[in-house]
Amino acid sequence: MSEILDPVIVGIMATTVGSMLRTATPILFTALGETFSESSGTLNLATEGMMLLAAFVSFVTAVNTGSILAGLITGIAVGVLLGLIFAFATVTLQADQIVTGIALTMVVIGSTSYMLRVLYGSALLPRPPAKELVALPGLSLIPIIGNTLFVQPVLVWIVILLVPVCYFVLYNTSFGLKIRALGEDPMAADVAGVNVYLYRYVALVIGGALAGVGGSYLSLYHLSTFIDHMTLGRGWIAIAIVMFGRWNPLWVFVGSLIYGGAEALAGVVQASGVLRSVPSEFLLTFPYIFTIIALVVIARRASFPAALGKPYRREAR
Amino acid sequence: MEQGRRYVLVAWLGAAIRPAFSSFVAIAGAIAVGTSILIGTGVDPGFAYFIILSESLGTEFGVTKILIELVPLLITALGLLICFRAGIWNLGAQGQMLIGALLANVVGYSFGPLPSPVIIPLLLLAGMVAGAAWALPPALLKAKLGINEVITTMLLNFVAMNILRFLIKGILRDVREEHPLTYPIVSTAKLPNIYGTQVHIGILIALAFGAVVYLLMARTKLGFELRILGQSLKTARYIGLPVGRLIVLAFVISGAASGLAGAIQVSGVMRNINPVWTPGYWLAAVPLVFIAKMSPIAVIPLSLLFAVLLVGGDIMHRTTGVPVYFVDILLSLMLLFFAVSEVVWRIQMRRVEG
Repeated sequence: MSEILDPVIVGIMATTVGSMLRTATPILFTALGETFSESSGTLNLATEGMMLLAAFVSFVTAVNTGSILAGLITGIAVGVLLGLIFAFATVTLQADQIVTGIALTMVVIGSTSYMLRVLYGSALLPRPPAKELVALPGLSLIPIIGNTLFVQPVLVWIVILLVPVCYFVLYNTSFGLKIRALGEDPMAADVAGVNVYLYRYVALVIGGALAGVGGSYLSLYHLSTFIDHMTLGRGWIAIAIVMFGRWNPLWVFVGSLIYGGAEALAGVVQASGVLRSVPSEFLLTFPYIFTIIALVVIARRASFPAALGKPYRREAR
Repeated sequence: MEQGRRYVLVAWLGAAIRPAFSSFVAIAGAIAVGTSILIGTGVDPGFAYFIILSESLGTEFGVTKILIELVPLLITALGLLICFRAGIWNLGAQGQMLIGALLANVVGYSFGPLPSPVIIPLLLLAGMVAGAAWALPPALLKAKLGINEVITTMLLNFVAMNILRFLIKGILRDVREEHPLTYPIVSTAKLPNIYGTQVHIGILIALAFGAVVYLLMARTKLGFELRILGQSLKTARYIGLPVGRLIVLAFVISGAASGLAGAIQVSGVMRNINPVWTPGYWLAAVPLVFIAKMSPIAVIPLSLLFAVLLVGGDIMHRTTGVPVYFVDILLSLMLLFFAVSEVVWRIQMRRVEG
């Protein structure tokens, strides 16, 4: 027992958990948003593009205004904008959700790299303003672990608060019931008087806004810079986490933490030099393989929203 | 009356240009948006398009480059076509290509100087086997457990990229080189050029593969079954097709194609592999297959158009400084516009035909 409470080990564990929370945050924001989209019956593969565009736009805004908040707001705005575009294509025009999602993501990958060159050429990128950390009152004063675990960027605390809020909204309000009804049987929901198109739009806008926060977190907090396709598949990982969490925000939270653990573990192992002979790229495969294993684990038990991926045509009912 | 006239017009248009309507809309829409992006970023669009076309099609260097770039693009697209036709979303062509290229490279330098007729087929086969093997996990996960292949194939691209990098920085590294790089393939493993040109014979392999894919999809039982699967999973199950086996087969053929494309790049163009090599062919191949409406015959001329854009965009970047990503934007916009115009068109037709 005494070895477990060794201050050094406790300190390392607190650091790891803290880093796990930070790496889980962008995924969790996006995954919570995607939970709304998927519950309403739309598989939004554009999350990757939403995150990347938000990361880029929020970076440029924060650099130019000197304000992280301004960056965050524009990041949310472009997330919402892409959500509306995706909704217009897939809900109103009923285009294929998979093709549209991939196409939008590809457009964003190309245009962010293009705009980065147009704006900054090959010059060294400016840094966004320094991020502010928020200490939880009381808890941050605990010796050894307080400083590393309970002092985090404010978005980390916000996203943790958002988990029960999303759960409550989805499972305890009539709004959430309507969203979930659309994912199971849009025709029945329509007959019962729910505006199918409107609520799918709303779900996608929520998804876009939260993916926007997730993406902005990456460029403003996680790396404090912008790199070509810097999301590196996190938007798609978030979708896998939503499936792992079976459309329940609480389980989505658990899934994000597991993912965050895999990414943080890779970082800790790398920093500690235990595997000095192994190139870091080997460890970088962990989060992806973890995500795929997570999908395997739940494969037999997942019951997808029945109408997921199917456009709704009112005339066809 | 007004409505009646509209229907007649739509029906007439439908009969005349129906097969390619959404492809035209997609290309036109992409060029329109692409042009406004150029204007918005201070580039003269007329000049940019002129450079793209004249520098690629107007010079011997450009034409040679087109015929070389065409090869991986066409082969990857033909492989993807088989999957997409069967309704399978193999988006892992990138990873399958990287792993294929890697094994091809290893085979290309490991056996010493074997004669070309032995080592070249061996190298290409290695690429195909490795590409197929990399496509197998998502195939089995989909066939056996019903796991969404969109996510798994995309994520495996990142895994492949990192595996390539750590192997080249580690055990596959050419120790004589200052920077991480694999050993070069032996000189006999290099793909020969077509007589009198600087174009390697990969283009012939690609065209032959096109014929094979056409025959496979149009004339064989397997192709027929894959098309049924793509039309309706329910029907395929109902008439007792071996759905799981078809999924795995489509994935394996498509992975082998991407692996072959990677092997041809190693044997015909690169000889050794740089750890930061990130070929963008799959980003072009996905829109290509859709714009071609999944027809192996249409894929061939369209891959020429796409290769012109890729080569021209690259030269434009070097001569005028317009970021090379402009072409990526153009191609992905085509896919976006295609997705929308295809379904809008179909709904219009349904209204007309009842």
